Amino acid sequence: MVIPTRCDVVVIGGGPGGSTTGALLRQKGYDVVLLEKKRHPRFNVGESLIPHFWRYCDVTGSTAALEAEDFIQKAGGTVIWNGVIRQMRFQDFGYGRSALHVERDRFDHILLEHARRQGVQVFEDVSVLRVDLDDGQNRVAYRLADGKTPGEISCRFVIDASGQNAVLAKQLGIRVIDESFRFMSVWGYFLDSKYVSTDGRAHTFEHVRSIPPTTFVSSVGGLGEWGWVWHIPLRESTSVGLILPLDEMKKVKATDEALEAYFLRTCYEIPYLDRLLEHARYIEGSTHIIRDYSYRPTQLAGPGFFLVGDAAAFVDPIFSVGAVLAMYSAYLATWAIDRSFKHRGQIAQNQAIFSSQFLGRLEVSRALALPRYQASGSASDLAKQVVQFESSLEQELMYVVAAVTTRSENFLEMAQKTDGQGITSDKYRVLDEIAF
Amino acid sequence: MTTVAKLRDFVLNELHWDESRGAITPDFPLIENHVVDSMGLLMLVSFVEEQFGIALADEELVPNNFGTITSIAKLIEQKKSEG
Repeated sequence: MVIPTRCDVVVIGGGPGGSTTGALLRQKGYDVVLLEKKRHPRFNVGESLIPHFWRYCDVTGSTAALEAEDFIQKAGGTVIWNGVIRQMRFQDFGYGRSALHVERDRFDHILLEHARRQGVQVFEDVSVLRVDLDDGQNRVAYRLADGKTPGEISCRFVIDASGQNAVLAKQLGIRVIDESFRFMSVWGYFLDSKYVSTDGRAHTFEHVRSIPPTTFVSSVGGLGEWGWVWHIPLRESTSVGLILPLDEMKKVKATDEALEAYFLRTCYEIPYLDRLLEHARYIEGSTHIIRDYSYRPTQLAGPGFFLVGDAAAFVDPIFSVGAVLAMYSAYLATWAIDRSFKHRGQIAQNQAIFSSQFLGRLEVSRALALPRYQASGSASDLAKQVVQFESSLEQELMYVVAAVTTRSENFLEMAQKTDGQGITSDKYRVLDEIAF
Repeated sequence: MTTVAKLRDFVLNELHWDESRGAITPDFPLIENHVVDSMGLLMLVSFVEEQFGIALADEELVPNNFGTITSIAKLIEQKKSEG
């Protein structure tokens, strides 16, 4: 198949944001070309998914393909924050469908193949070099992986769904480091780790199908308010990762060996995690690192383009909302583009709605992830509005996820319930210990 | 068909509601009960604009305007009278 020279919309990136945008635009009848730099399946991190993502898969029609994959279903969260153990379950918040732990190479591949079946023209091993924005006639320059073959596509709209590469956002200089979050991440994979279920007990890995796991999260002592660790059982292995302040990493030599040694030593110093990993086997060479990856946008859309998912912003991944935000912004971008094709005079209005809805939602995630959040400015006004647009049960879920990491005051400020009386919840429990 | 009746039909047929149809009265709290969520809001905006020939602005997409069928109908009437 030859890459066409013209289409309605070019989507940059074949992760969940790009695949969802592509599939939704096809449903509306638009001609979509999706350019993916790598070839799927390809490795990605971000394995914990909250059940909200199913809503978007229902709309694109990818639900059956995902269900057939039989990913690990997780029942809730176990959070140890400053020594206090708390647990919550999604079923207590009206979610009949499961949250998942997914291998992202498979998950992302299924969504991309679904988009292809919907008629999205998907091209892999294609790097986007530059986007020339020119009202109504944008040009996307690309090069194939062989390094030689350049090409160009003309289109009405460009979606930047290129994740942390943020191809267009970087080119336009509309992405800045979020100084509130200066952290990095180191993670790796273990075989035969124990895991924690909602019964408050540790179980051996062979039960991961019969006794559903929780996502285990713990603050890490000695790393201020920032450091925390995740423990996510997958089908074959368990993903374990540290979120660390950048300052901490200045103490560690930047060689791969030093990082791996630091990672493993730290994992075995964290209470309860050390016991979960007691008889586990680290998969040699599976340590990965991302440095300084938190940033925010100064602009989310403009004449001819929209940013979707991580290409727009990325904050502390503690609440597992990344993929859901990508799918939500994909839905929002499709809505705005469809209206802009139908009513050409409305483009600016649609971009404004896209930007404020998406920015409000991004700010909610940011506020929940910051140890101390000062609500001020238009972004936090938009965040408050987003919270008010949520159902009572959903607000309670937001409150609980904030409460288990001791950030409920941030949420109450956003929910404008400063007296602390407006929202409470008995939908999480405090455990004395995890039983082994 | 009145504005309220058209809105009620749309809510029942297109939005997220699988309990009793009778519950959806003009003053039923749509947001609180998860009938209107982030996706439903966008569907409603498109429906209202196409059906009633008005254009909604960004700053009109606030919970006060979309909390009940009555409040949406009020917004529509107000926009129509602004012409």
